[in-house]
Amino acid sequence: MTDQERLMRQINSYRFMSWELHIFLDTHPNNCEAAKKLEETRKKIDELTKNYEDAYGPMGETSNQTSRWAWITGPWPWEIEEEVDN
Amino acid sequence: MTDHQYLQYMQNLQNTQATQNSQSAQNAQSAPNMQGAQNAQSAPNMQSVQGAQSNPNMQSVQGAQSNPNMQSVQGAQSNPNMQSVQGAQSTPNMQSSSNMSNMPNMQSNSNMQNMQSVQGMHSMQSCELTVEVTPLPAQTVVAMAYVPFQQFDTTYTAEKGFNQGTIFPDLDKPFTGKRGVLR
Repeated sequence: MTDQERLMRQINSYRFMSWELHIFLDTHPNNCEAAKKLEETRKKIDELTKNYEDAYGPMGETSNQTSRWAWITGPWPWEIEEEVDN
Repeated sequence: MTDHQYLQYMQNLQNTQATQNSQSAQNAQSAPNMQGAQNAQSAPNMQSVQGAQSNPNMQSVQGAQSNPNMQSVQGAQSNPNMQSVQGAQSTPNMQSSSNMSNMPNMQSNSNMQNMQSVQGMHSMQSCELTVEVTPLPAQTVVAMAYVPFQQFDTTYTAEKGFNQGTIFPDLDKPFTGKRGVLR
């Protein structure tokens, strides 16, 4: 796994965590512990996203540091060569 | 949903609650033995007023308000709006008259409303809204099945949770069996 993939996976992990906390708060709307955790997780996501974008360019069209079209100049999913695991 | 929208949502819920309670309180005055009236006085079992015992959402919302509810029942006789707004802040011991004089910058009624929504935001951040919801109701009924309500405990790290499919150890139930036995 390259550094880029590792960082991306970390971002995805934290995104998953924030979604988990989100749906937990749907059924536990008064749980401040979870709300706090969600807050921290979102901060962490922002931080990691910034790290990623500083190193590898914009992640999406909502990114701060991209023009409207810059973010799609990277390789498309089918253009990425991956080892085939059989 | 932003924090502010959430707060508004909670206030609406609690206002509704306060209205219902004031009705219960009126029942209490006219017919002391009615079910609703008894519940209004003993706040913890408010769920049964609405017959929502089996619905965890209702329970959590109502449970969250058990203290402020007591207030809004009292308030229903004197000044319902005031009390219900305070209920939204979840500051159980707040008495309207004494507190108003303590609070700075409070000149008009509208001003007070603003203050309170700001305080509501603050209290949400400082976690005064947290109310314990027990895994099971204090009183259970024979022949009914109960699913324990999830409690917030430690969570996995983000990476581990991502692998396991949940960040909650309580819910991490990997399938390890095959045809009724462990593999």
